[in-house]
This record gives sequence, structure tokens and C-alpha cells, in this order.
Amino acid sequence: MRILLLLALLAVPRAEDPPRPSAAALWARGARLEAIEAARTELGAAPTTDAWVRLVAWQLTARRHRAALEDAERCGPPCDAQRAEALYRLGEFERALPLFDERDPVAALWKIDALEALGRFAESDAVLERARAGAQAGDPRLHAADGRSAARRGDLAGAERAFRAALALEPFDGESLFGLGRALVAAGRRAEGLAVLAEHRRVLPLLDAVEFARQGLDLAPAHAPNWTALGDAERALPRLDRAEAAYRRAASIAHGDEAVANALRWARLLAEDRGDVDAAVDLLARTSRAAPDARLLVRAGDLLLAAHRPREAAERFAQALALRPDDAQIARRLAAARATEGR
Amino acid sequence: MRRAARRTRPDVQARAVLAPGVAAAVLTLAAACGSGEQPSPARPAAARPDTATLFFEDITAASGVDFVHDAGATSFKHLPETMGGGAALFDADEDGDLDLYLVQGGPLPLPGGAPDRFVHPAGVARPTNRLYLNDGRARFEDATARSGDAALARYGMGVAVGDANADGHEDLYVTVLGDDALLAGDGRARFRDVTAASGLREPGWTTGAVFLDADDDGDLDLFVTSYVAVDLSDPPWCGERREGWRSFCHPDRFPGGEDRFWRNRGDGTFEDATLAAGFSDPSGKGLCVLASDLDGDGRLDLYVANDGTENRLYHNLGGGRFADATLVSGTGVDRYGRSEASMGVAAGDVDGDLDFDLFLTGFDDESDTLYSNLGGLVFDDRTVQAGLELATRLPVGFGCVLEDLDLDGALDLVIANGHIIDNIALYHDGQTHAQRALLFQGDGSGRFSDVSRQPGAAPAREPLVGRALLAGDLDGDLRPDLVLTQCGGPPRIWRNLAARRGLVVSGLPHGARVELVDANGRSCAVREALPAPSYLGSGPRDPRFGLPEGRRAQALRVRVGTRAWQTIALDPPLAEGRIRLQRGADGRFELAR
Repeated sequence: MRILLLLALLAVPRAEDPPRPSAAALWARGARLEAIEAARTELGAAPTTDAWVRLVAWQLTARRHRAALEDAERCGPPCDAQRAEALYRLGEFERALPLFDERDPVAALWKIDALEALGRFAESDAVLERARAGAQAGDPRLHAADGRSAARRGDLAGAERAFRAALALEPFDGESLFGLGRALVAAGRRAEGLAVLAEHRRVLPLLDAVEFARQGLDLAPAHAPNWTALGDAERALPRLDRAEAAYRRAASIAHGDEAVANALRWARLLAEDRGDVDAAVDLLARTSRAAPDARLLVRAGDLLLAAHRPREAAERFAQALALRPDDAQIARRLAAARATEGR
Repeated sequence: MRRAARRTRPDVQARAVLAPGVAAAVLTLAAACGSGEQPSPARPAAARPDTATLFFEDITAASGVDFVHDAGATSFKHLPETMGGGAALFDADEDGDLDLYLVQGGPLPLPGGAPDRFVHPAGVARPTNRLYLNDGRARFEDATARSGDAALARYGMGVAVGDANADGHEDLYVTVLGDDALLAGDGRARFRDVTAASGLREPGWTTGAVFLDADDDGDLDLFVTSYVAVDLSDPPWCGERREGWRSFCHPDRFPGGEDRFWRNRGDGTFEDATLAAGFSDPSGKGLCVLASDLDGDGRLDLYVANDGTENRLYHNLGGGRFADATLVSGTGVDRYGRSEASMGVAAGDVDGDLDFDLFLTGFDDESDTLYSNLGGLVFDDRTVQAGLELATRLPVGFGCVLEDLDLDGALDLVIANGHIIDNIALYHDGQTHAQRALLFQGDGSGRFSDVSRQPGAAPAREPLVGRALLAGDLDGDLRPDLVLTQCGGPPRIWRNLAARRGLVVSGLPHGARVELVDANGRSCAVREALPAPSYLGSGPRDPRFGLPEGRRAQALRVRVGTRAWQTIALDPPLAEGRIRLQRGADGRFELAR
């Protein structure tokens, strides 16, 4: 009888454990380490090539270069490209060289860099030549590498041409600005060269800010303020399209204060840099509907007032005052807008 | 094959190599000196003989130096905890050997009510800086207790050595997270805090410092670098928010501090002449400053290593004025136009063309950088060509020395490495906190070979959290030994067991330039009588040379500031030894009797 009871109990379905998030879900949330562990578990259950490639790729993104190398070696030839990257990141250039796939523009650049670092300039020039002839001919980084090579050979005219070609594609390429300036100075065109170097000096901290923001995103891609920071850095250069893309990404994942801060910055870009007050006001309104905040309304009001649209400005200030009734600054703005409207 | 070092006193050593009659040395003045012309540089050193190797032994335990740096580690991971402390090698008691001064950290100071202001409360026990006196054989006695105010009890950073009050004795300027200190020495290893009377006031986070006669008026001015403004009362969280993962914040998180130039009024007091002298880099994050005559015009220029912002090269225009020559020099950034996290800096003639090249250490994923001096304050990044690119890419480099360690006539290079993030392995599995130093053997033509794995490369044997690195002859055998400080740990001292001995020139004023003249009458090597800063440090001032096998120096050429060159004959010519110079009644240099 007892045995029957036990069997009956075992047959009763228990409350299910909540399903564990998938590796992909964890990665999308920015939980990188957990995602890597989950990916390893999923790999164990289903050791497909895609699973290996994904695990190694994630290890590389999370700067687990040694672990990535070990996993890439276990994976075998399908992971050769990633093995090359891991070796490159670990400074083992000789071992990485045969594995670089030059058809991949990034890998080609790594190969060029690795060969240069080894002092094998003739070989790096050969890779560069092949890359330029290939699909990535329009890549400013290749033009910059070309300029570097020319400068090394003493071909200052060639260096100037190459760096200018890079800058035509990417006006804020730091390497090309620096290289062009140095080539001009070396060619005796000192004033011209110093002017270019002065521009390089101006953009250098801005490029560093972009790089810093990107590193923050590497660590925490789901953290909205990191995208806002990237937007700010790109705007400062200015690379407005990239800035807007970053702000847009931040807006898609931001909540509360993060959303407000991001919207204020994005609106400034739209109003001040694009000259599109309507777009800025619309953005502020959209954000305010989702996250009501007096700051958004006040900014909209300020933009409208500056655009000689006092009635609309007054409406925004009135809405802001409704959220913050004791705010004297908002009250003064409202009064000013109404006074302007009355004239 | 190791050779036992002969542990003789320097003066005995000199008498052993100088022929009788040298005390009556005759001054000769080469015709070239009066015209200001310089002889053409000798050809670069020939290929090294196989017997020339770098060989060191660890003598830390026998040295008597029992100092342990206290970084004041906290769970808040304040950036100052990563810096380590500096060191100075100088003759504190004027007995002819090099003593050692080590800068201590300890518990962090209290926030001072504003970012970049700090308070060291009185009456709170904390470890002090330490002064160790050398017996001439690299055995040190802790003389801190009787050193007076040299036993500074603040969260120290670096130290500069120079005779600030021109009384003939070396003084110390100690940079601090908080109020810096100027300590006047009496020549008997005792020091008095004269900061208040000096007019110097640096209350923020200062790091590197250097004394130099910037305006050629005969007294030593002072340049001090500032790092970043941190608020200890509000430390940001950096890194993953999980137990044990909090990390140190990148210096990009903090605004830079303004470096300052202090002009000596001639009486040992100073006035802030930063703007008047032409300095302005409000966003710089200075960690090290070096003085060197980079364009050979007789005036000392300044080079500031900034962490994550453009480095700065300031050209001395004369009259105490400087111009920012960074852009034309190309030394602000690496060859890709990127700013680097520059920590330590060294100057030396690595390619035998009688000018001073620059070497800079950097962070991980960026190589250290060798800038070859092309003349006219123009430099070229030759890191790759020098063979220094690969080995320096991954480690985090701090102190560095360009020194002829095997005394073959070519400068060698040693780099102290060590990460700043103690839990870096959590974030980057290819990195470690403690890292091995790197040793490179130079060939005199600007190329180096990595000899870090050779049997005699003791400094590279053990992973350390390396910071300052100084070269100096600690045991009087005319071979430069090495001292390395660690962040949060004990220093290391290595004795040099090179087969050859070197030539040391003493008695030169601060900042003088000296060249060796070979048997063909050509200058074959150049040095400056300046303390090498490395990182937060101050090396010995007396210039040191090595000579290739079979070569002897037949004369010295000396220049002080923009004054005319003077040639001093060495009779007989020397391959090794100590040369003491003194001023004669007419003010000209002569060999000391």
C-alpha cells in the first residue's frame, strides 16, 4: 500500500522550475558572463559548429582571449578566424598570421598591423596591396595604412595622397589627420602641416571619448546611459548621424531618468545641429508621454520660444508647471511666453 | 659566466686607473669649442662582442632595505591606490655613494571638502617615507629616524632631487596626494621642511617633478605635474556590480590637473610662473616630467608624459619662456595619432647621433614608444624598427631606464611593468596584476634585442607590480645597478655583474651636457648631468658611460647652459673609472686633484 502511495505521489506533476533564460537572452540583456556559461551548457547539449562559433565570439567580446583560444582550438577549422583574433589579442602574432582571412577587412587590417609590428614591412605592404584591390578598397583604414606605408618609405607625396583619400571618406580619422600633418611638415609645408595637426589635436580627445564610450558599451550594452554617452561623444566631433543612431538606441532601452536625460541631449542635437525645432519638440513630447517630466516640457518650451512660437511655448510651460507647481523658474518662463504672445 | 664584483670605493678605483701625474692635468681648449661648433658624431658602435651580456643578481635581502609600500588599499578602489611610490638615488650624506629615499603611501588622506583637496589629519599614525644610507657596498641602514622631516608622513607620490636653495646640499621635493613638501638637506642626511617659507604650494594630486635651471640664471626652478582631480568622498563605482568585481576607474572619468612651473627667485623661494613662462595644458593628466636639451641649443626643454591625453613637449626659448612644440615634434601621440596612457619616460642617445631620443611607457594593448630624435625638435616613432613593439604591447609599463648596463657603449633599456587593476584577470584573462620587467640590449644604432629570458636577466624573472625604476652604482664598482619599487609591496634591488666597468663623471652642475671624445677626436657618446625621472623618481645625477672593447676616452667636452663648450683632456685616456671635475679659479672645469 505504501509503495502504491509513493508511486502515486511521484506521478503527481510538481510545480515546474522557472525556465532558465537562454544564452541568447542573457547576452541580449548584457549579462555576458552568464551568457557565456549558458552558451557552454547549450554547447554541451548540442555541439554544433554554430554553437562553437558563438561561444568563441562571445569569449572574445568579453576579453576572455585565453579561454577563446582554448575553445577555438577545440572547435577546429570553423573557428580559425576567431583563433586568429584570439592569438592577435594575446600578442602572438607569428601564430596568428597564417590564420588571418584577408577577405575579411578587419582581419586584413590585423594582419597588416601584425606584420608591421614584426617589422616585416614588405609583407605588410603586400597584404595592403591585395586588400586595396579587393572589396574593401573604399575603407578609410586601408588608405591610412597606405599612407603609413608610404611615409615609412619616404614617399611623402604618396603619403599625402593616401591620407587625404582616407579623410575624404572619414573626415575625423585621427590616424589620417596625424599622418597627413606629419607628411606635410616633413615635406617642408610646415604651416599647412601644423594646421592639420592642430585639427588633429582638436579631435583627439573627442575620438578618445568615442572610444571610451564604446568600451563602456562592450562591457554593458544594455545600459542606456552608455549609448547616450556614445551619442554625446559622436555629437562633439560632430558625427551627427552616428550620434542620432546612438541616442535612438538609448531611447529604445531607457526608462525614467535615463530616458529623460537621453531625450534632452537628442533634442539639443536636433534643434541646434540639425536646425529642426519641430523634430526636437516632437521627440520631447513623445518621451514626456512615456515618462512625464517637467524638464522635457521646459526644454520644449524654450525651443519654441526661441523659434518665436510663444503660444506653443506657453502651453508647454503650463504643462510643466502643472507637474511642478512651486517651480518659480517655470512660472517665470510661462509669464515671459505669455507676455511675448501678447505683444 | 658570472664574475665576482670587486667591491672597491670609487676613489680607490679611480686611483687604480689614473696614471701618476694626472693631478697636474693640462687643460686644452679645442679650436672648435670657441666657435660653438661640435665635432661630427662618431659612427654608431660596432657589433657587440659575445662577451657583452646583461647580468644581474638580486641583492634585496642582503641590502638591508626593509621598506614595504602601503598603497592604502580600500574596497572603494580609489585611483591613487594604483600609483605606487617613487624613489630617489642621491648622496644624502655626501660620503660619495648613493643613498636611497623611498616614498610611502599609507592610509589615504581624508577628503578635503572639494575635489582634488585632501587632508592629512595631525596626530594620526601613518607610515613615513624612508631614507636608507649606503655604506658604499650596497648595504643600507635605515636612517629615517634621524633624517628630520624626510620622514614625511603623507600619502606620497614621487620625489625630485636638486639643490633648490643653492647651499651646496641636495634637497628633496616630494609630491603628495595633498600638500607637497620641499625638504632642505644639510648634506648630513638631515632634512627640514621649508615648504611654507619657499612659496611653493601644491595642494592637489601631484605626481612627477623635476628641478631644472629653466632660465639659465644659475638657480634651480621646478616643474610639477598634476594628475587628475578625484573626490575621495564620492568614489564612482567602476566595473561589474558584483562581489569582488569592483574595479579602478579609468582616468578618463576625472578632469585633468594643471601642471605648474615654479621660478626660483634666486634665494630658494619660488613664484608661480606657469602662465608667464608659456605653459598651459589644463586638461593634461601628467604622471612624469623630464628635462633634457632636446634640440642641442644649450637650454633644457621639458617633456610631460600624460595619461590618456596628448603628451607635451615644451621648447625652452630662453629667458624662462617656453613654447609648446608638441605638434611639430610628433611626440604627443603614437604613430597612429592616438593618445597613449603614458606613465614613465626616459631620454638617451640610443642611435649614436649625439642627441637625446625619448622612450615612453604605456598601458596594455598599446606598445611603449621610442621617439627617435631627428633634430630640430622633430621626432619619429621608431618603436617597431627598434624591435620594441611586440614585447611591450601587452604589459603595463611604468618606470624605465635607458642606461648602458653592459658598458659596451650602447644604451640598454629596462622597463618596470605591473598592472594597475588588481583583479584584472576577471576582466581580461590575458592579463595579470603582477608582470615581469623587460630587459632590452641596445646595439647603439637604435635597435634593441629582448634579453628578458636570458639567465642573467634577474630583474625580469619574477612578476612584480613594478612602478619606479632607477639605475645607479650602489656598490661602487662602476657598474649601474637597479632599484625597482612596487605598488603595495617591497622594492627590489639588483646588482650589476657586467664584465666591464664604466666611466662616471662627477662634479658637473645640474643640467650640464658632457660628451666623451674618442681617440680620433670625435665625440662618441653624450649624457646630461640630470636625474632621470623614470616614473615618480629621481636617478643619480652624475653621467655614466660605457665604452666598447678596446676604446678609451681621451677627453671630455662639457657645456653648461648656453655657455661655450669646454674640452678637458684625459691623460692618459680612460676606459673606466671615476672622473671628478671641479671649477678652477677662473670658473673653468678641471680635473679634481
